[in-house]
Amino acid sequence: MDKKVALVTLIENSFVLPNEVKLELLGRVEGLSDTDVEKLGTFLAAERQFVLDHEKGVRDSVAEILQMLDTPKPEPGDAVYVGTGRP
Amino acid sequence: MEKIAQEEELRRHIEEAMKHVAAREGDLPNQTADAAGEVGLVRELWSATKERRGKMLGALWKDAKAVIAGGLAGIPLVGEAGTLANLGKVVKAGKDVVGVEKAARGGVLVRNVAMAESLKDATKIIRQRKEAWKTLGKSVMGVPENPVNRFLKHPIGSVVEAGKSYYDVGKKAVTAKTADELAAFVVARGVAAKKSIDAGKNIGLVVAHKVLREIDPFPDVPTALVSIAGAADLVIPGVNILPALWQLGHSSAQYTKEYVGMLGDVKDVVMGRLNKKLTGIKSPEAARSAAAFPLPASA
Repeated sequence: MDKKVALVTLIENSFVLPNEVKLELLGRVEGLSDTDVEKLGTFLAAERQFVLDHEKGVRDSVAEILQMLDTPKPEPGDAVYVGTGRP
Repeated sequence: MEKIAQEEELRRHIEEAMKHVAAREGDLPNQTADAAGEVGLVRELWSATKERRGKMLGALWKDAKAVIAGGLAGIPLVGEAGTLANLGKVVKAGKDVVGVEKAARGGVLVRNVAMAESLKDATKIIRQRKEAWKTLGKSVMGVPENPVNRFLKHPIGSVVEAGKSYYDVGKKAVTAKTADELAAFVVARGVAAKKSIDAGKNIGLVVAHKVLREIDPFPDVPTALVSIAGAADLVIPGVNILPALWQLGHSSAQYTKEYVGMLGDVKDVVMGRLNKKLTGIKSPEAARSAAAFPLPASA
């Protein structure tokens, strides 16, 4: 498999790269040097393997963080209304 | 002929991937799940690194950060007034500020034109991010106000305080008239944050600060660089989770309606989308792609 094509798939599926960074990187893949493709590809392959090996830990971490931050609820008078309210 | 076909295949792949990523970025539950997955992975990585199980991955991440910063360098970002800024320069600005911070500790404040130029770029990036947040706020139905302001007003415990100090840096940076003013408050903020982190059990240490510290597996990243809001996404993975959760919380009526009978609240929505994301990473295509990059034995 062509390494740049493989890198594209790994960038798309990465957990650790924010989407805006993904988009920027995808726009640059064609111009990346072989060395950078190898470094980034190796990291993202390792990231994927880590997620597979630590799936439960990742899920638990997300659940714990969501719990810790507590989901913000709308304040009174700050409700978001959808539609007209009529059937 | 074969090379042309390969280039065309690569472009097709890139276009497809960009469409998928852009669609996720445009969908609030996916966006929030992405931020949550990002922060969850890095937190788990931090735990594993502490136990040395993820040591090699830690080393690879540092390498990757350099590649990402290098890959992004030179990408022009459109600022508030249509000015062009450069993320690579901002990273450099962060490094310069670190130098200033070190000098300030020794009682000397470095003033030079080169740093002033770098800091101007940092200011542009901070403005650009503020604009992005404003746009996000306007784009969500029923939430016309800047989500950052609304987020800060919201009583979600000490997370608010962390957000406030984070935001204040950007606010002061935008209003700073000179590079010296900018340098002075960045130094002050950087030193204060560093002290706060070093203190560890400081009563004033906010929960979110702890969270952010905990999820950053590589605390050797200079605090002053973290203070440059524009570069924060590259330094503290997962910072997006705060505005994303806030926004999703305020739009929960819409999404709860969408998932009625299946998903009850925001956390369920986030976890549901995260499950789908995990399915993607397990796909045969992702497996074949990963196989193209054999890992070091200890990774």
